[in-house]
Amino acid sequence: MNTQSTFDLLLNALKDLNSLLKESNLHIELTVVGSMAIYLNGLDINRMTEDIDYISYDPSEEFIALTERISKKYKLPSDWINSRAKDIEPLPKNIENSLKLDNRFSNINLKFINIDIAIQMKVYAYYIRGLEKDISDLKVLSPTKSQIEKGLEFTKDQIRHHHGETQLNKDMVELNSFLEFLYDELLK
Amino acid sequence: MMNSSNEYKRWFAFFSNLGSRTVPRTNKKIWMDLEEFVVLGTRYATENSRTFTSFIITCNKVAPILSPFKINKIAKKTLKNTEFNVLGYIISNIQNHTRNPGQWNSLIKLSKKNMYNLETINLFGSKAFKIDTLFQEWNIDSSSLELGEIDKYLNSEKLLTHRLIHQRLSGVKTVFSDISFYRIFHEKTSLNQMAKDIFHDYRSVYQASELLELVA
Repeated sequence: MNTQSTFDLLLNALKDLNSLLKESNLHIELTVVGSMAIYLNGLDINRMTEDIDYISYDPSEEFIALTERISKKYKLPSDWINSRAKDIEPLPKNIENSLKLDNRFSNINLKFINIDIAIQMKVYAYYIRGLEKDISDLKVLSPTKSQIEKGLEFTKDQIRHHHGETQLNKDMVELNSFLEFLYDELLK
Repeated sequence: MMNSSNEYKRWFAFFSNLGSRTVPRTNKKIWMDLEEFVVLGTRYATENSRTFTSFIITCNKVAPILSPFKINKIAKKTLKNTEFNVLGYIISNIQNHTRNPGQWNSLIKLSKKNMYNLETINLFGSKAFKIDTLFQEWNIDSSSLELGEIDKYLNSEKLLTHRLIHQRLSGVKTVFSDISFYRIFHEKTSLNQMAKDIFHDYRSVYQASELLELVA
């Protein structure tokens, strides 16, 4: 049976997007986060959805038009490549210096977050959204105790930034029980 | 008789035919009974949370054209232990998304009667920091699913243009649409075997086939 994994499909779509960018003489820089970044780090995440999340790029109209062409060709969701994650601020500390580079494309400077940063963002995502896919991804990422703690610090930074120190103090009991939960669940 | 490895591969291929965005895509068309697909999902869709999310979204979408009676029949024959907890969760979700929740009550009863109650089930191999209330109702320890992101998990156009789905949506009665879909893949199979494969009684299949031949 001729089957194609969702990762292969997305990489083919990116390859085609790169060709269109080349024809239009456009160069872009994408910093990939989310499950695609987990895959690019070489971890065994065997199933995913057909989308790529990126940050640090404000998409031009021309770029969006090209991604729509690819979406039609591959029957991907209209926002198969999206910048929804760009709203995360502040970003994890030192993210710029910990990015990895994938140089397979001529016109897409493809960067992706390393495992350390991916863990921080997933810990925060799981605390905020409480989605099963986030704890499942954390299992794949298999963090150490200190990586979990960095993730919790990043979560605290987010709460402090968006809601202030008083709210953070109110959330501390829950954050501590969250940390205990993550230790139990991810370090066994 | 189909072995479980074949059944597993066919389930995933059929799910790709229906438009799931979380399973490997295949261009090969697969026959599978729609209600059996729903029942077997309790076994195979739980492979990971993204596939399960896609599966629940699909079940919610096709719920109005599913036959609860057939699902009941297949579930009694096929499922065991914790699979009834998963079926209960699927049906509860359908009830929350349909305008006719009453017709699903018998399946809720069946699932409640047979569900596993001794320990809480970790469906995806992990516990939840905060257990989703609907999962909790079915003794499953799991976080929530991203059920609002329909386009991310399911290609609805592919689902709605699938031969069997399209026929049922057009108002073709279950037994007729099942026969017509089955015959694309199994032209020469006996009526008796077909009746077993599509989970209808022989008399209905015989009568429907006769009528279909008349209009062919």
